[in-house]
Amino acid sequence: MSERNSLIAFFIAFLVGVTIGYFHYLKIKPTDEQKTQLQIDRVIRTELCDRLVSDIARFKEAPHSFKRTSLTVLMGESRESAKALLPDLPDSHPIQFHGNQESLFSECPTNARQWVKISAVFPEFYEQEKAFVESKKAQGLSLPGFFGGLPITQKSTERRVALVIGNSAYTARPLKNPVNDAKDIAQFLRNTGFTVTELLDADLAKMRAAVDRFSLDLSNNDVGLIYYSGHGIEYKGRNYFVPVNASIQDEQEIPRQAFDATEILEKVGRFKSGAMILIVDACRNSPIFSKFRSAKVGLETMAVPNGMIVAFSASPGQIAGDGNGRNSPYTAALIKEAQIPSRKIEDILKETRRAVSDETSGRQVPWYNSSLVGDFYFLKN
Amino acid sequence: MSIEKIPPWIRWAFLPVASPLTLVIVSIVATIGSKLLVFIGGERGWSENFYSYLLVPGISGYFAVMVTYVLAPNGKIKAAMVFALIWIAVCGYISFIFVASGQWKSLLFPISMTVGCALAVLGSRE
Repeated sequence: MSERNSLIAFFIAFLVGVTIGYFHYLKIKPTDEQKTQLQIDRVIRTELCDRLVSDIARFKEAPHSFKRTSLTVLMGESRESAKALLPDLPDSHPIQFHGNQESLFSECPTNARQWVKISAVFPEFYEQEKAFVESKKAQGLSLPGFFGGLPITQKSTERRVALVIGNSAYTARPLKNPVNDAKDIAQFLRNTGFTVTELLDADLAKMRAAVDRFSLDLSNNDVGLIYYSGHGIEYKGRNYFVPVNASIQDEQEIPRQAFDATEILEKVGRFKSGAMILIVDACRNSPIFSKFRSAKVGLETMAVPNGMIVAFSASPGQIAGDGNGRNSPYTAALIKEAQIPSRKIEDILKETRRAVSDETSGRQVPWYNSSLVGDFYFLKN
Repeated sequence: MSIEKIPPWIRWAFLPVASPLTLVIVSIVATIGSKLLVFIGGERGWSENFYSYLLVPGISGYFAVMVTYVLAPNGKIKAAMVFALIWIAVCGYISFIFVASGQWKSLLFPISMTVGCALAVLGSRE
């Protein structure tokens, strides 16, 4: 076969591949919602990379006066920019990044990808960076690469561990948002230095095992956090989290088929050394539970051991909404308020309460009960 | 051990496996090499994207076809041509998916691999 014929054969083979790709794409074509989300992801990615590059440039210009912007704040700003850059999107459409952390920085330059590996909570490491840059400048040497011989990652001074549970796939009355809530909360917690175990659509056995493992992990950590989103029910003064495989036909089956939240308090009550946070976005109304005479609407108050804060998405006797967007009103507000740096958790929960109460016209008023010793910040400048 | 000592039927049987396997192995090795070169080159060297989108796929495609030329007991050029056509068709498929999903920059990858495969066939004719 001559060279010319070979090239023609290559071209035809390429076209055959394109044709197969076309027909296959028709089958796997993203829906309009998926296309919109891909567009949002792309814009957020680009905005975030630009901000990171600009942060690095500011550091190089003035290392003494440089103040690093935390990744969570940069994400918040990127999302705001994305809102402005996508004016065709309806206001109610949530602007959230849905890809994984790896893909978030995939289009950033190499130095920006290295930059984000330095957590914002390590001022002592930042001091090392400044000293390194100054010493190289004093020697008249050009920096070999932005981070030279410095380690890329550092461990946090405060060890944080979290268990995040989101149950959506109930057989009888599935919920739309708990899995989304859990994923978004997990991502936020990771960005603030937590080691997160994410449990989605969990049955009773998995929930028990996860809580057991979590309570063992607590002893090696300074801060523990459990977040639950899904159905919850109160029965005889105790609150229960409903696993996805529960098939509760009679109220007396509740203690057997649902997870008693008091177990969490008992297990973590032994955790003496640090702060423990329990956030519950439950009690979405379900007709399964409303038929029970003695099972009330809403969850009950919980006695809080020392060093702990418990936050609920609705006051006792109220129902928490699942929400029309990606997240429940409570979780959406919580993530938004928690991203503001240097805010104590109590202030975050107060602002969350205000936001949710305003949004639901007072029908859902979150509450919390705290016996924390000392202040806890998700993000601190 | 010369490859000619391996019985032809084994070489034919191994041929369909050898090409994708070579693609994977060469990609891994080339990626490691490119990361070293990016590190050594620093800010003045070629960017990681040059290696990931241009050099690595081109080299992988080249060797994925070249291995069939080497391994085939007879009809070497025809065997290399067949595998080159298969890989180029795969590149065509990937190209369409990238175009349809708006990832224009990623088009460099299949184009580079196509060129690598074509060069392997055209070079082996000599």
